[in-house]
Amino acid sequence: MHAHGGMARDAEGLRTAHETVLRLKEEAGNVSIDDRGRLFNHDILGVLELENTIDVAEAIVVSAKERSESRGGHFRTDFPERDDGTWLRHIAVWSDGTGVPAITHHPVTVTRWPVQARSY
Amino acid sequence: MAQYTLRLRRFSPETRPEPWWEEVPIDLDPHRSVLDAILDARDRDGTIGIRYSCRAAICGSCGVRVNGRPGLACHRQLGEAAQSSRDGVITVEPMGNMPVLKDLIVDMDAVHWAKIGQVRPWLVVDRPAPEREHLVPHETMVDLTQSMACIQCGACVSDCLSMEVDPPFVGPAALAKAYRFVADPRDAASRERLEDLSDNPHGLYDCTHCFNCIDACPKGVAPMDQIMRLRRTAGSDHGIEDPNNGQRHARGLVDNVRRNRLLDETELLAASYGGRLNPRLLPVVLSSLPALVVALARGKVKVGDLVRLRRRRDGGLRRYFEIVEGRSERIELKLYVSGREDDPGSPAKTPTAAGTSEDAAPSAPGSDAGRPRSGTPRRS
Repeated sequence: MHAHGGMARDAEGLRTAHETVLRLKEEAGNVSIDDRGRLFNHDILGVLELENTIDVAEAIVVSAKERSESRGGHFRTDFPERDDGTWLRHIAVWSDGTGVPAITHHPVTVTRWPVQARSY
Repeated sequence: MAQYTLRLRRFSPETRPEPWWEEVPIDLDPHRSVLDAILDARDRDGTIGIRYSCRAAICGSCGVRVNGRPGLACHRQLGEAAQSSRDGVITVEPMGNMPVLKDLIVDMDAVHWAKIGQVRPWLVVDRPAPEREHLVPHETMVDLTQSMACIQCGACVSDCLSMEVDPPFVGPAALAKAYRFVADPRDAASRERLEDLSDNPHGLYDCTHCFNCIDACPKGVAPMDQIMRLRRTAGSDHGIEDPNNGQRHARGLVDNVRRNRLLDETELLAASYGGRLNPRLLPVVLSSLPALVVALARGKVKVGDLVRLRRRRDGGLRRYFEIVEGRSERIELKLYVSGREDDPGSPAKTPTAAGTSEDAAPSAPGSDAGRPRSGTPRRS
């Protein structure tokens, strides 16, 4: 995720990241624990954290692949420009139980502050 | 890479009723921490229990005893820990004075946090909030920062000797926290706090000055120093009576020398117990009669001493009292110096820096300008 899913991303890197995350997801199904107790079971805690971390990583990679523009902290080196015409919208990543995340798009409600490009 | 051996104190009440020792080989560089070594061992045996979070001596989670000394596991380097061990094996145990829940995890709620809760660790405010902010003098804030540096790791609680013999003792961490609020000018309950802690037989006067908490603290909070400052604030600023004899003894000694030029110990005993007519004195006098008879028989005490017919002349002593007592601000003597002789940053080598008038003159009441160590991280 540091190498391919950070601030600067491109389609190829995100594909690598996605493959890695999917491989880790598969391998994570085979983890085992030493500690069978109910008291301060850090082993189970580690497994829960692993599962959640992989879920979040997958959501990040899937939505980053989806958004073919640059916006805020999401900088696509292969799409360096903002594209309000296509992408002024939210991307939501859902778990619908199939094991493959579902992606939906939602309109952005602009209220007090109009969306505009930032320059530094 | 270097080879080390950890000797871990294990305890798992679900599977074995008694604790046991386990030796684990560790292959890590000497600059890595004892916590790194424990986590390395845990990678191979997931049943090892330890609390930790930041790994950088900030969060206060990984309090343990390494080679019998309390502190943070992430704050001890393997090389140093192996050297300071008697047999080269690094012994890691859970902290003391708190029930062990599992392996290196102790019940902080039952002891440490319960005691912190006892001292009302929040500002008690009795007036409306100021329009902008409540300004506190810079010196006062600097004075408070030492007790505010506490990260609640429990290392001082672990090795508090008073708490070992008297478990209800409020203890070093909670009393240091109490000082943080007593000395805060925004707090409206300072006097009430001091009265409560003085009345409590397990409170302010339960500390025996063993220095263990000062040595244990990884953040230089020096809880014992804060306890002594609480006592001075209670006694000198608020006139709250010490239920023990300590304060009367100290005052009695000064008054005694003022009157007699040299110390008259028979009179001092009475002063410590509240005066010649105080009923508290009678049993003490009765119980010391046998020793007194022997002392009289051998000429160590003369009858004249007991009834004190002689009055010694002043001899210029009065001037010293005038100089010392004429100061408008209290000089906080730094009486409690700890550290190791070979530590170049240790204040033990520069005791004269403490409490000289030049150092202490600009101090605000209650501050400790003479302290040489404040802000200097302790090395261990």
